[in-house]
Amino acid sequence: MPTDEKRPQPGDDLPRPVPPALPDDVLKAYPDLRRVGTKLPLRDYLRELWRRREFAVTVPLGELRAQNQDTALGQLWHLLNPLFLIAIYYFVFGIVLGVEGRRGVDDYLPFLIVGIIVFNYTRSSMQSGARMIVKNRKLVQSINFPRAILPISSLVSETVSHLYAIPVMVVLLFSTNLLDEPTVTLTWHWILLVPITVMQAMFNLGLAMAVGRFAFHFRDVQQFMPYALRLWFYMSGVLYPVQDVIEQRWIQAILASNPAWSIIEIARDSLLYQQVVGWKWAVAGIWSVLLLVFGFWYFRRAENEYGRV
Amino acid sequence: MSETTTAPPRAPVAPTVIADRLDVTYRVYADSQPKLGKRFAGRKEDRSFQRQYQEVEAVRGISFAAEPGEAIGIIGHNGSGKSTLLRAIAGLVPVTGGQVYASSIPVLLGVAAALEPDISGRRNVYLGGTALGLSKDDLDARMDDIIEFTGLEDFIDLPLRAYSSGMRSRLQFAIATSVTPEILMVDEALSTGDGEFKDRSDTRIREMIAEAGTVFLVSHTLKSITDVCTRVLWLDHGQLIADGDPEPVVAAYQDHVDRLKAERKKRKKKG
Repeated sequence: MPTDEKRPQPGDDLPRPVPPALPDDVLKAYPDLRRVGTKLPLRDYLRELWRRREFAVTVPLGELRAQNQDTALGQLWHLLNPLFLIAIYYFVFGIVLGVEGRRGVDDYLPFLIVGIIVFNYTRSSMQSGARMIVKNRKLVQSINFPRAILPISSLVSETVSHLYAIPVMVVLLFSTNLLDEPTVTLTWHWILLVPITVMQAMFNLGLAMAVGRFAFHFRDVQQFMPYALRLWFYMSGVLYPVQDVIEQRWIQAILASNPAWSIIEIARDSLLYQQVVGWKWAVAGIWSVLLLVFGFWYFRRAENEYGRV
Repeated sequence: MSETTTAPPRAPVAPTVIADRLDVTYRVYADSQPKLGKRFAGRKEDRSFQRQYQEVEAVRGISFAAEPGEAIGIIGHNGSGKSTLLRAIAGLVPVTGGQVYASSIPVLLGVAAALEPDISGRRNVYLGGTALGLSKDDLDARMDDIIEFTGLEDFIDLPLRAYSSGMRSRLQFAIATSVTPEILMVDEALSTGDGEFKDRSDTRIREMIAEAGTVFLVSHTLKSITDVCTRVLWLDHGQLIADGDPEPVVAAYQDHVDRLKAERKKRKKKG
């Protein structure tokens, strides 16, 4: 037992642990082993995502169910939220400021309804995407799964909400016919709402992933988001046709390259004006592919970091 | 002590887990940051918009190789790096240095965190189970067993926020043990619940150990370590102090703890 040492150290009466003699190339010597903490190759990653698809659906459905459980009106809130939003904006911009009849908007209420419902899907996707990683920190720290499942499940949740909102939008659009001259008619163009929603889901997912990682590195993003979204809301022509308000051609071009604007435009074109404008569809299509690819790439680059405390 | 208790020469079996000079360093942000004014005009080290942080070396240079059939206990004081070591091996926290190799993705039975307080126990089983990679059909098939194991049949359709903490941990345990992975890691936090449930959960852990290829067990209950494990790692301040047969290592750890206690007592008397 120690005599000359001042203080016995833990374990000094035991032999020192001997590190295992490892071959130079561990992976070659033991072909069954894989390195832990390296990113899966893309194909395996996607396969793993597919294997966990039920998780991506279970979480959001549970959350949606839980969301309004304590309120008297319960699930009805999914319908009431867009309704109130539209009522307030119609009151302020349609009635008080009197946008209707000016600046090329003949029928303001349908114009507003489509704009708000469509933009709201992107807004809420970005907001819940930004919260996703931080909110599920414990889950990330205790279970190994492809992290992209988190933004995907938040998108599923927002998409389900949006699918609740679409019938509300349709009913509202037709009920505007009762107010004055009927302007909303059902044509084959309405079927275009399906590809429009798919494109919007794609770029919403891309955005949710990019914002999700960004908010993981900088928590400030969550504070800043409402302002960025507010600016985007006004720039996307939800309340008034931005293209007609601004005369400078270069600003018009910038505004026209805005993904939210192009989605809202093609939705209005299809539902209200029975027209298909090729270049607007092209802008929306390019954005949805670009944002999805970029968002996924950017998110996955930090795949193994999300468990950091 | 004699040299006979050194790690035995490796048999030519392929290991299931290898940790090679593993380091994990956390960056912990200080809770008080320099004031804005100081950042512009203060001392040089304050003049930065980088948040100030401290580095904590939770795991320092740990190496070992685990073989199939081994049940490895991990002991050490609070904050010695036991849980961090498990998380790093499971690929849940990024390592700062070194390598981890494993024959399949290790599954950590931590406190399952997927649980949502606002939805029912039953839906939480779906939630936790799918997070662990089970399919809905698998879960439907096992649902009755899982619920029976929790002993919460009467409460399973109530929202989780109505559960007591003991009931919650029963549910967590039942969900977490619904899969049997090849490499299993058990964190001590699971051993909660009343006496009756504790017996059942101990049996379940033993069954899982028997089925799994390699098991890691973190516990402060030294008796359960010597009962279950075939090998023990002793961590102290992030470093591997000893690696060998359970009896001598646990005994030495116990001596060390007793010595610390005695010193504390002495200091108290003096002070």
